[in-house]
Amino acid sequence: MKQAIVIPAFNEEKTICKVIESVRPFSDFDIIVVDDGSADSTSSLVKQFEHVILLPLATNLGAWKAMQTGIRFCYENDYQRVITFDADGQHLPDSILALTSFQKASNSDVVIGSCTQRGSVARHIAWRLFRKLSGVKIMDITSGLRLYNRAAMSVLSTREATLLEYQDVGVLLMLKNFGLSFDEVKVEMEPRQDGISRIFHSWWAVAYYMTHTSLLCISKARKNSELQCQSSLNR
Amino acid sequence: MQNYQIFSAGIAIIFFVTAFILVRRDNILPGSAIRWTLLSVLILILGVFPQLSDIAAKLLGISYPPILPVLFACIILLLKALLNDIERTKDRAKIERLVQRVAMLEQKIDSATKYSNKV
Repeated sequence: MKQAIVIPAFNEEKTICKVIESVRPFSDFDIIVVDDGSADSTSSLVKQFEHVILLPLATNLGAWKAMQTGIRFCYENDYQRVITFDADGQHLPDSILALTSFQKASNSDVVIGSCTQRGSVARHIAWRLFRKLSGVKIMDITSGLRLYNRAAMSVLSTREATLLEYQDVGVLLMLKNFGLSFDEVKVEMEPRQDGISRIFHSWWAVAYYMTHTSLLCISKARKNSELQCQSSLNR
Repeated sequence: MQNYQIFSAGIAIIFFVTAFILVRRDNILPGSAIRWTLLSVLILILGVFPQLSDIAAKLLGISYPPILPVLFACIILLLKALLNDIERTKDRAKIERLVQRVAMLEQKIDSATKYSNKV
């Protein structure tokens, strides 16, 4: 079975080599790094690894769209399973086994590596709010450590998914609306090494994220989508 | 011709001529050119005969006739802004998907070159 680990990276020269080395023992997986238009030497560092597939984006598209590039690549190249993995060293390679073995047992379309211990009180309140608004029953809705199967890849490769701005609630909501099943498995995560969140870099960014995600939840929470309609027609 | 009529006709003529020159020079896409030409003709008619808005206002029961063309212009501008936003969203998605595709193709070329170098 063809499977891959997708690592989107934007200016991660400090950590990218370490992260690639850490997932190297998983020889069943192809390693795909998406360079999200980095201004530093991320791209040239990745090129040193012979076995790593590098997808160099011509311009910075943001974390979600970089990840989508990897997912699209996997979908078009007949991969059966893809795991998204952060390049900042937050995710631990042991979690990959936890995700795959859980997926084998549960057969869910999406498995999320969840670590609810991280995040401040404010962030937990925001998560609870978004869980309520969206109806997505996942504890760690912002985790970037996820396993997608082919059905999930097909949904996430669409043009509609390109319109999403963040990879968290919007993506989960879309998968839910397409009738896909998801589960989460508890994993350990390291604290962020550089200490700065890519999304929450300023108060303005937090306000924008909160408003954007709330609107997304309210407008899409009850939406039915194509696959769901198709499956109900086939019944 | 009254002074205000000369003023509004002047503005309308300037707008009409500008729109026409832009269409002639192909600065506007053909689809938009039709819209802008129609709009400039409408503005020309209203500019030369401002009393038309008085008649329309009386028919619609509006007590302050000059507000009618203003309201009309506001609605058109809002609609145009909305359409532009829709267009921009479509274009952005298109560009971003193209950037993604270029990255995938670049990888393909890269791996093909590596393979041929080995062989």
